[in-house]
Amino acid sequence: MNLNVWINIDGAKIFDGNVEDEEKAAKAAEECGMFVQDTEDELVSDVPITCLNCRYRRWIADGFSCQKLY
Amino acid sequence: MKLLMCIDDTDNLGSPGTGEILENIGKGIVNNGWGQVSYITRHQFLIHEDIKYTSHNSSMCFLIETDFEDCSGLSHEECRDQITAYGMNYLLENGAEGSDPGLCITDLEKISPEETGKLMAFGSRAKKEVLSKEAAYRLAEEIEGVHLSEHGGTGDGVIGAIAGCGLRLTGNDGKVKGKIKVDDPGKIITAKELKKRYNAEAVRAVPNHIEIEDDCMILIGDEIKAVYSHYQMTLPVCVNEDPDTSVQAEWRTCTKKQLKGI
Repeated sequence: MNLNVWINIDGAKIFDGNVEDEEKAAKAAEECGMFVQDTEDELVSDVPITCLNCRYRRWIADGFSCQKLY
Repeated sequence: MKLLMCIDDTDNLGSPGTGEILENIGKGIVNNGWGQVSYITRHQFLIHEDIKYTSHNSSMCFLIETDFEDCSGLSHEECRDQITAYGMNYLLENGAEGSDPGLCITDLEKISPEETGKLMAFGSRAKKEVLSKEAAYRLAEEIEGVHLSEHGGTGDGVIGAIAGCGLRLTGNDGKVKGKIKVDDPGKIITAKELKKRYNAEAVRAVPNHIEIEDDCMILIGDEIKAVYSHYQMTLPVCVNEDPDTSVQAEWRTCTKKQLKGI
């Protein structure tokens, strides 16, 4: 896990970056190794492997958290 | 008879998604000979820390059209109740562990324009506000043509279920479920041909929703995703900014990123 990408808030792993930062989200997914593509209707990025398209990302008001990393 | 069926909060991280569950209910309705179902629309609601959802807080909705023959001599109400019971049982048996499924069925022949307006307003509010289960049930009780039920967990899915019906009624919300297989990305064709190829009813510009005329040229990108706009399955297109092709094609099909938020 890249510690520079995730911040821990009350036990939740929050993506530490702008959701528009596709490069950072893609790099995080590549490094994670637990990426699973979400259903087609929930894909929001044109980059195939990215946290933005992962089954385990959970959208929050100003970004997303990871439901897989503990 | 025309019914809208909408479900919400039926899944967990490891289960089939809500769209797949509605798809299965649709197959059951068709296989039982009770009518035909339309494409499914996905409706996005507010993302807020006070709202419980699996990962994206959206609901799924389709239209059911039933002829008199499909009902095998049943009355309108009996036919509708048969479909309602099927949906309820399906959710009871297939709602995922930890989910809070809700089901809404709106009988389009039994709701007045005023009631339609109330449903649409509730749907619009769900995109901007945190709404309660009680408010959802209050609205359902006010409108005779609306069935609203919960099938496990907290039952909070009723909020998205009735709100999803409201948004479908607006005719201008959400994406159409399903992946469209793109035959030949990079090709330039007319809007008329684009509609024909992908069984769409309209081609409209993003973000202003203006309909693109049949003879306009469109560059096919790597992705095509349909949205629900003006009560039609619509192919959204964006301005083609590619200098190599923008002279031949003013428009191109939108990328996922360009459609984010719809």
